[in-house]
Amino acid sequence: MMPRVFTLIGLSLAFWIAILGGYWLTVSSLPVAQAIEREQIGSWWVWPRSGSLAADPYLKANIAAQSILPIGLGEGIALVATVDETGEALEGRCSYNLAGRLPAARFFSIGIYKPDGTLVDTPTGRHAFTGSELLRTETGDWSIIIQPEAAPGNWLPSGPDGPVLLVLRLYDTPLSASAAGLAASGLPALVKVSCP
Amino acid sequence: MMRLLIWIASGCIGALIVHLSAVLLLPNVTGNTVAARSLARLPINTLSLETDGSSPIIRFADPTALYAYCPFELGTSPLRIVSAVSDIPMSFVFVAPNGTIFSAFTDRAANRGVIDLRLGTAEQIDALADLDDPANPPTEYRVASPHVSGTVVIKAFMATPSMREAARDALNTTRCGLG
Repeated sequence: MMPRVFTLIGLSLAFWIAILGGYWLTVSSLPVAQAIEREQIGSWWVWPRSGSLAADPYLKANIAAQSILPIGLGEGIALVATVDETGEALEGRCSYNLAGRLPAARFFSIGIYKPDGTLVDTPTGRHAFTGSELLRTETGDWSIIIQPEAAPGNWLPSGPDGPVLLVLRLYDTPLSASAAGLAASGLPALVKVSCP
Repeated sequence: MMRLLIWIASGCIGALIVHLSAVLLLPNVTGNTVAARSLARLPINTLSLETDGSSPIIRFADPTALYAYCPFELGTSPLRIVSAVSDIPMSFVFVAPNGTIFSAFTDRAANRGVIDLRLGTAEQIDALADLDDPANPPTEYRVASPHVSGTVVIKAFMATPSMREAARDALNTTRCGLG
């Protein structure tokens, strides 16, 4: 009788370790896997295989869980910045300057989001810049000021508070299949100007 | 004590199996993918435009694009999508029910100013190929879908906010349906 009871207790223990442990492993591993699979280029992160059938199971699980539509491999590529040049997390209340080179693309946009994927609440309704909207200098250079307060030039409102992230989307770019080879100097740099 | 360790070790192996199964099954059962959401919310085999600037289907939608969705069920025949090229850049993304993109291209793939494509299962695409006249090859693109259902996401990009109406027109003149 007693050995049977011990067997039942052991089976029950193994069952609950399997269920709870499996759940914990899954919940905790998805963000880790998302971080491992990305390629970092300066402040920007890219998931080169996210827009194709070659995405690995963890990436597919992340895409499914978050209702994200990656940019297709034949469509272009998206780069995400959640930190500035020094590696500090982007904050809506701070002021940043985004400037530098952009890879060749037929169309690009730079948008600002909250971490949950919704657009930042802004007084002007502007949430992104396209190449056609950027004011440029005589030499063709451009810069975007990202901060809550209005600023002359290319101002991208960042909302009053909380973390924000930037998404740079390049459509019809030859980079789609080879983003991992891109140098940081080929992408705009994100520099913190001030933070109250 | 030894038996207890064996049960704990068995539980850990079981946890690994549960974890791997969950990761593999999650995209198919979550019901939260872009394709699953559009299949559940929108009419099938018809193009539905986004009603406002904020996308109800996709998180992290591009604010410089208008989105239209054509959820498809390929049970009876292939899907046909026809779109005339205009000044508005467009892209076409084919999404499986598990959220994986199985094909994508932009309007640069247009032939004589028109995107004309058939989306079908491998069998349907083979059947179309059997009917082709070798002396007069078809000009349409053919995309084989690995799944019977899914969704096509069509984006029209606005270089400036004033191009919203032109982008909407570009999507409104795009046709998506069985045939």
